[in-house]
Amino acid sequence: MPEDTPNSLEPFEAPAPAVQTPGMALDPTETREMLEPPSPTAPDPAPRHPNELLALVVAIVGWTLPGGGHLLLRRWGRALVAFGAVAILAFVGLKMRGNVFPPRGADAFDFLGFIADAGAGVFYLLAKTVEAAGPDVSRAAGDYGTRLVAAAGVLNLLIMLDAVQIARGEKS
Amino acid sequence: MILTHFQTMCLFAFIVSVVFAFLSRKHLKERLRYALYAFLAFLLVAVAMGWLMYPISH
Repeated sequence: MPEDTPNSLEPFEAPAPAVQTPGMALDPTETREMLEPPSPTAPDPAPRHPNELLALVVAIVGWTLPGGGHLLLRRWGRALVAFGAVAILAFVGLKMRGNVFPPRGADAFDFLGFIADAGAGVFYLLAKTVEAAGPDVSRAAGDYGTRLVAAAGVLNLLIMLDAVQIARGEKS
Repeated sequence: MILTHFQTMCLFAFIVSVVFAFLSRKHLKERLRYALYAFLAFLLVAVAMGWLMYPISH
């Protein structure tokens, strides 16, 4: 019979207790470290005060107007690129007569499509204005347009999250 | 407006690559390099996936 089986007849040695009993004395060096404040020369982690109100405003503006969140944070380059990218994707997608999903879809996929499309913010609201003829997915181009509009919305949500992270101080 | 499938894919890949580069990199040189890399990766993967699925359609 192997020695490490539970049925071994050898006496069992209990391991030493890992918990300190109340009567045991603490190590003096440990006690000193616990009581004394950290030395002023030690690197102190920078205090973070995330501005939650600013982050909320940035999120709302960033969703409504692509790049608007970065604009509030004076990130001009990112704001310009964000607006241009979402605008081009949404405009081309709508001009190709891509489908824009309504808020009350027939099934879960329609709802997901709505979430993606609505991410484009103002471009979702202006969809009827940009392409008055409406969607036409009977042709392949209309199907490609549907994907481009959804991509514009999802990209804008990603851009909005980036702006929120900057507003909260989690990203430079 | 009519674009072919390949043109649509190129437009998508270009715009998404540029946005990813601006969001994830700080300096212009890094952004250019990352955008080019992501754009080529998008195209390469799309063409490779197309050829992988080619036998299914025939």
